[in-house]
Amino acid sequence: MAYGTFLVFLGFAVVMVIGGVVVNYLLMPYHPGAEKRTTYECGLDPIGEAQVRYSLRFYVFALMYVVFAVEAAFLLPWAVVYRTMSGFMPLTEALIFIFILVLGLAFAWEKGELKWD
Amino acid sequence: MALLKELLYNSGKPLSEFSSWMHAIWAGWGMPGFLLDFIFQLVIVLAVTAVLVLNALWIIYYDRKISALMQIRKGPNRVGPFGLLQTLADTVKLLIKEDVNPKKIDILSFWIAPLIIFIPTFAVFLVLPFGNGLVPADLNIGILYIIAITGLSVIGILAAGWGSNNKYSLIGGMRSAAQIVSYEIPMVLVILAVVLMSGTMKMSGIVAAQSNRVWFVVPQFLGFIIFLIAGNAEVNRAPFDLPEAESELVAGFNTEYSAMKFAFFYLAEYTNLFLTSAVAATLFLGGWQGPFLPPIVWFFIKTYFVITILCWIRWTFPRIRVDQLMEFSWKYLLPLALLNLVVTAVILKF
Repeated sequence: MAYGTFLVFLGFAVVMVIGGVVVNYLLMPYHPGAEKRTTYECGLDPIGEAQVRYSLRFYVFALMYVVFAVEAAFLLPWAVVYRTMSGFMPLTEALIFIFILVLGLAFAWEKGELKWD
Repeated sequence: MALLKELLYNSGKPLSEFSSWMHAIWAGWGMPGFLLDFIFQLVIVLAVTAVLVLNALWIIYYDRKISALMQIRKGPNRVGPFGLLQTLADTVKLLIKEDVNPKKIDILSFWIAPLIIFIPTFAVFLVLPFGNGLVPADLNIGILYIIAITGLSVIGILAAGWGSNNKYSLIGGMRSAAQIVSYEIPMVLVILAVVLMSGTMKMSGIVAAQSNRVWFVVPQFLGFIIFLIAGNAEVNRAPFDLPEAESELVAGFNTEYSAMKFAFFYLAEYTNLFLTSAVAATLFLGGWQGPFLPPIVWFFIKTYFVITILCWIRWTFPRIRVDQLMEFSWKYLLPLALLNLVVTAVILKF
């Protein structure tokens, strides 16, 4: 039932966007022109293409994002049951896990990967 | 009167009673039950749409009015009483504008981008607890669902940036993706600390965990601050508005969009602001709980309290540089969030 509602939400969002654009197309004026359809570049004629190989300085950040997102995904179940578990085992294991990730972060920091230049 | 009071203060029980009563009648007619479920779901979706649209109309006006007050201007004051209908007029204008598609666009990613950006925004409403039992679908993975589904909007932003075939759009899209990805990590770690304290990922469970003790804003004050900063960065608002920095990138990834497609970007942006504030209010400020007034009123009061803080930040601070932006997330927020998580875990053990 709950996930059925989720599907209805998704479907309705799609219908809403498509419906909005369709209504827009029914109401809008249509005056085509070659000038109008040029790429906007502050009024000048566009120079070259924009779909070029873009220098992805963020590659390392994306990699680190994956590492930490997976870490969070692993820690979520731990966080849910943490209060119900007794003893220091859950705490120690999580601390070791986090410590390894902090080491990785410190390594990246030391290598200068966190710097933008 | 008693029924109305019950509906306002303890919505879950009368609603489920109504549902099972309807199901009994429906079964008496010999109709299949899933059809009635579908009708209920449609009613829920329509109600959420009404909330979303009305709220967007109001929140844009609110943001503009606050900016005007801070800059000693009047702000929108022509359309309707106090300019209240200004946003409605803007929407109608966007609806009847010509939709211009530049020659060089990548047609598929250009057209699909508003869809991909809008869907996660709309879907997050699924788990928002508006009141006591008043939640469209109380998934038991609540907060994880929010994290997961809001992450999808990055794809839409990249598609918009790439598909427009415009240098401003490309740079804006890339910046936005990197920014959202970077600030998501501290945010998730803070949410982890909240889950640690409440022992559940269910949104209603997190609210319930704050009922007998203090609100989580007190033990998790550092977490609340980190959440606000990261949330502000996630919705691309100043001082983190580099992806759509007007003075350098025109409008960032939505430069080439016009008419209704632009309207959906705009709608998604402001709804995201509302959602971030609503999640902050639920996780840290006790959600719908509060004395005297009905829960749903408290929910909106707390949400708008957070929105006001975010607007205040937006109109007070200058935009930061891109290197400061990335370093701030990875070198300050992330270690602080990790520290917050570890300290929470250690304190909970004793």
